[in-house]
Amino acid sequence: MNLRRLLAGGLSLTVLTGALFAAAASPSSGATPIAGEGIMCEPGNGSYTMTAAAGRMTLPDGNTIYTWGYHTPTHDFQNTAPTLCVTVGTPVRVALTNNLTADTSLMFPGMPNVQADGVESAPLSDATGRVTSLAPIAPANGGTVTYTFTPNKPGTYLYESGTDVNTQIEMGLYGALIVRPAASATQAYDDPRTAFEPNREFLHVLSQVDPQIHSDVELGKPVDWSTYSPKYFLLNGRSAPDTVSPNDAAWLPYQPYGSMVHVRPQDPNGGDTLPALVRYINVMNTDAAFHPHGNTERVIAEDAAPLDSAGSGDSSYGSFLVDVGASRTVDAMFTWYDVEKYDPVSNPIPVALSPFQDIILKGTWYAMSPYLGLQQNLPAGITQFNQCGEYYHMAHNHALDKATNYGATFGGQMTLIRIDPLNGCPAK
Amino acid sequence: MNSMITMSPRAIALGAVVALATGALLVSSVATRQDVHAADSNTAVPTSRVMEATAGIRVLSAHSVGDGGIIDLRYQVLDANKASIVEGDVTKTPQITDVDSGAVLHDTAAMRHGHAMRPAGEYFLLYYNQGGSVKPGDFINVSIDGVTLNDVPVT
Amino acid sequence: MTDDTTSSVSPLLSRRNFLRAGVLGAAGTGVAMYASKQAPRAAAAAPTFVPTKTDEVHLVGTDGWVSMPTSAPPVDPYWPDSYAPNPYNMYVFGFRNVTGLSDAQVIAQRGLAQISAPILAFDEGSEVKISLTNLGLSQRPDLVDGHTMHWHGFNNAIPIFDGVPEMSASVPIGKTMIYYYRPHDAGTFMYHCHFEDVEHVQMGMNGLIYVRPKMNADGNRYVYNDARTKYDREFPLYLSEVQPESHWRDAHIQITDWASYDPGFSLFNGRAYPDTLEGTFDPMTVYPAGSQGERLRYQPRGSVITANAGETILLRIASLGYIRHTITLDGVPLHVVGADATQLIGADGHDNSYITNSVAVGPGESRDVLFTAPAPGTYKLYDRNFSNLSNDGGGGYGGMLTEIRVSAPGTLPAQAR
Ligand SMILES: [Cu+2]
Ligand SMILES: [Cu+2]
Repeated sequence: MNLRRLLAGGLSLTVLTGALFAAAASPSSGATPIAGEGIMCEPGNGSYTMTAAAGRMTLPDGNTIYTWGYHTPTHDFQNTAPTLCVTVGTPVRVALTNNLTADTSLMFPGMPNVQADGVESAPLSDATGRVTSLAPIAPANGGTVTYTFTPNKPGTYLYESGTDVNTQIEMGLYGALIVRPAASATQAYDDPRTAFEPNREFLHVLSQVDPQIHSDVELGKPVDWSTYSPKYFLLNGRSAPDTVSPNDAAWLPYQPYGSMVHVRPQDPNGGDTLPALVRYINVMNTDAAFHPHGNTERVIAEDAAPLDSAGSGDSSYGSFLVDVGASRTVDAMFTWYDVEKYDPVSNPIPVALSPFQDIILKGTWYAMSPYLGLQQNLPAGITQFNQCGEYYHMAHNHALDKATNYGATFGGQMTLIRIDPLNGCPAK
Repeated sequence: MNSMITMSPRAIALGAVVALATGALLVSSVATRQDVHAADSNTAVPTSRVMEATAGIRVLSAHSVGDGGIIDLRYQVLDANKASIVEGDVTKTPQITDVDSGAVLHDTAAMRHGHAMRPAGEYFLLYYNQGGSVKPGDFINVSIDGVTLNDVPVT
Repeated sequence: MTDDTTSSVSPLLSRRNFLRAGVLGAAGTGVAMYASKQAPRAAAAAPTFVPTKTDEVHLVGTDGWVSMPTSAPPVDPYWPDSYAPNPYNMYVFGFRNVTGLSDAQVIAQRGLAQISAPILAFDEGSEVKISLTNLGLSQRPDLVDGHTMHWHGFNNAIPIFDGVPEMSASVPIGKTMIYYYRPHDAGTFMYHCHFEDVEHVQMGMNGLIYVRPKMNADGNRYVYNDARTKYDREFPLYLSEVQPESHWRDAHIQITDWASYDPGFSLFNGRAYPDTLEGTFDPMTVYPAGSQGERLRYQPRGSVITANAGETILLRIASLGYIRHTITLDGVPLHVVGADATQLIGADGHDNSYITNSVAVGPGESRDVLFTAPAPGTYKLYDRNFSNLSNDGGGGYGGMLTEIRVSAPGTLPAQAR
């Protein structure tokens, strides 16, 4: 232990304390964007370039898997194609280059009048009339194609490869297309009731990986779908707990998209004033039943069709299991209310909480306090610098075999819902 | 089950001495934190042969996640039998101490593996970051069963 | 055959008959924002909750042995399990309701788990205290697994009572934790252990929770606080699957690869057909050797649905299996009025309930389904995914299949509440 270290420690402490005071004076307010959280839109304002390429992904158990994805101006390689956020009425251009050794393409189901290199994007057929690709291709080894369209309906869409679809989607060639209404970027649809809290917009792209298929493709072997057995289940291209790492985490260079949902309670006295919006996309070949703990979500749209068609009444529905059919999308609103407003002094939880030694603490997360915004009863020796006491709930696929990393629980298609106290969490 | 490492007599002796002395703080075998600047993604993660020998694990990384509310500690299992204490013995859960602030974290969530660990597999412990005390750029000491690995960079 | 829907819950639970004069809940009126379903409650600055009554339930978590239909083909070595004591054939984890038992009796239930879990039923506006005691695993003393109580779908849950061990706490062997809830929303919920959930749920620690609406105070029975959801009789139809191989592996100290899930038996209320047609038994009763009661008392609930023609029947369908099921009732129209413990009405009060011949139920989902009992006779209710109609891949019918037995009007007495 040297003097320099002691000095460094003292210095940091001073800086830290200063930061805390500053934070206490002005708690962050509701709509402040949080770096590294929420939906991360590809820069480009409707004009995108991407190059299909081979790369790798890492899983929390240490496995590294050969995948296909895209090189973009912002990422050398990414699993899950760039999230394209566009606006109704604004033309979109996607220039695709293909560095794979197989032909590839992109299709944009739900978009009107898609053009490929200026002509209608229609399935390709061979001389006998059999379909060879669902969209015009960028030929292997450097070919290009440019798709253009002008979205006319807001919503959440899945775009994906239209070529050798089974293999290419398993390998990773899919992504989210978010179309915003022209009226407002903080509404899911034209209906003002679909307004969501700014910067509380989240994306859950559900997909899966069978390492055997990926290995076969890497080795150029024929793919045997009869033994298909996915072992990893991904949210935005990551497997839990990588899902709660921030967007663009340096340690996940090829899996840029996090998926933690982060809100504050809704309350007249602070917190969020509007729900969070969670956009679900299921890329898997099976239906997904996704379970947000903490509260029932309200499903407001399926397949980019708002559940409130004019004149026929509101057909949105509450759901503690958000059903996302294979290749479908669902938009749901999440809110959390501090209904009981438990407070250790004025409104304590009405049952004696078990002595801490009676419940397993290690191997669990527990702020030593069941109260939102408080951490208390800290065992001796624990230094406490500030208080936040945020809540964490989990959100996961309730086909529990898909909430695993190769069978290990607390993994797979799972993320966290973080609920901060009403007045936010002091600066980090 | 084969152990993936063999414990050298020297490592045993060193471990014993340390345990007898003060338990903690002295066992960083490769100090990487040579200067006062903050940890970043280029800072090497130190290793402790003593920890590898006694706990059967190698610490791989420590990251601040969940908007700073969680510290995500990753490790690789070198000896599945020894490593089972990390998740299996709640009295020996690794403890994190922030080098600068002295804050101690020990509330964790673990990825459980159906009661057995896989040699060479990578695992995680997620620490509730009490009060946000550990920040990106900090260094932490990781203690397992009396053995401490110093100066693990947090990014 | 008598109605069995309340017979296996503890005496304490059946006291809910004596509802205090509750406030009549207003039927869902139009609200403008999607956000505002629960907003009026949140707007109250100070807690104003006055529970109508208190329900206290004592659950234990432990392991045990059950019996899948013995006519199914053996799958060597996984099923029947060679460790199973006669007349059982499969290892499980499960809950038991031990409310009111002495300490000695409670401890004696170690190793006597039931599947599916005891049905819990509470009133909206009451307060609920659920004590969970971990009795440990008699077959696996080497394991120190905790158990938890996760009320699946509880709105605005706080983590300490959400039962996710990684987020809060779990109950170690020999300890008890009290979970506290104030159910503010009527509907069909579930509960399950969340400790190493893929394993503990598969092993059997899962079941139903009903929350009955305040509007029941008028003496009728409703699913939600809406006169359109009135019914005469209710029946649980709780769906799950078991994969014999993983149950065997747990009994034999081996590890399951959960990513290769392929269930062998599909269950209604913890039993596979034809056991679904057997009566309802009580885990505390000693039945004659060789009787169905002896074999099925740890899967206590039968699934025969009985009704008088013309009555409105409520099926509380919920699933904690890992695959999707599609329930149909031989040509009888099914009216789905609720999903996931939420009435099917829009934010503007618009009626979104629907009539169908097939009700799809995915993992973790619940459906409240009304139908009018048709003309007297016997009708089949089953999973239209026919792969779930066999027992362990054997011939003939098994799995998710039961019967509706309809009598002439006035034959059966009113169902006990
Ligand atoms: Cu359990
Ligand atoms: Cu659940």
